[in-house]
Amino acid sequence: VDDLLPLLHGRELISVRAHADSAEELLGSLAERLRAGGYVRASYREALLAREREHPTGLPVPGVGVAIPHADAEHVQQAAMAVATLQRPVTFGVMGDVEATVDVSVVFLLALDDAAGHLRALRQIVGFVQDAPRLRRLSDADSVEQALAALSAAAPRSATASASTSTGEAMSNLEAAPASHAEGTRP
Amino acid sequence: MKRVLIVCGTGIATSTVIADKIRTHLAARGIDARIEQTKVSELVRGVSGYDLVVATTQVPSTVSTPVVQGLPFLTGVGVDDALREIEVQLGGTND
Repeated sequence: VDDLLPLLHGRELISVRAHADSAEELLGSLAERLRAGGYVRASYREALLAREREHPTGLPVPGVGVAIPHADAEHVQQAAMAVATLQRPVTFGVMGDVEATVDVSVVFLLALDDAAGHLRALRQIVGFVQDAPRLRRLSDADSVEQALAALSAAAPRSATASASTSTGEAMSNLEAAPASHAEGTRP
Repeated sequence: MKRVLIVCGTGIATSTVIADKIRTHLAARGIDARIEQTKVSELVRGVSGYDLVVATTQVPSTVSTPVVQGLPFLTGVGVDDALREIEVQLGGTND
């Protein structure tokens, strides 16, 4: 998660055990937080909600539902990521499936201003959410410190940190262990 | 040479993550395929010339090419089944 941690800009973009009655409410408040920090334009919030309606981002990861909402780069002023864990899950649509929904407990809200950065972040998030123990540690966090520790925990390292290469080869080894292998010790 | 089209909302990030995984797998299985990416809004005219579409978005009904869901490559659930389906759609190993 070398490329993810700088996007958090410290602690203010992490919400632990957040309360929200709906995905829209949660996304609205996270977008507001990004706006207050000067990371996104005023247009980001509405663009985010519209995009989530059109292309939902819920991922039915076993045990812990995840969503990776985002909006187009034109609404972003400085690359950032907000992370939220929820007291009670909220319902998101499942990516690519207009009928399915998923109860989401962990949200990675991306506000990225270039395609290469978006790709690096997404690769690392996908690796993270497929690593069941690390994802569980994040969703179980009781404090921002614990959430940061979960996010910072060493990933199975096989790729170089030179993620500036945006082509597939350098990063294809960064995948975390599949969920079915995730119990017990990591490879 | 089989041709696979990966489709997501933007044609950039999600589809690239999936393309990496499919490319690696097909190469390991000796299946010769060219993998391209696009965004779903490019599909309204339909697609032609592809053997398979892998998508993380709803694909318009104008698309008659077989579609495999890309979601397993993001969640890690059902990856083996998805890869098997991709192989079947591409006619199995044809080395």
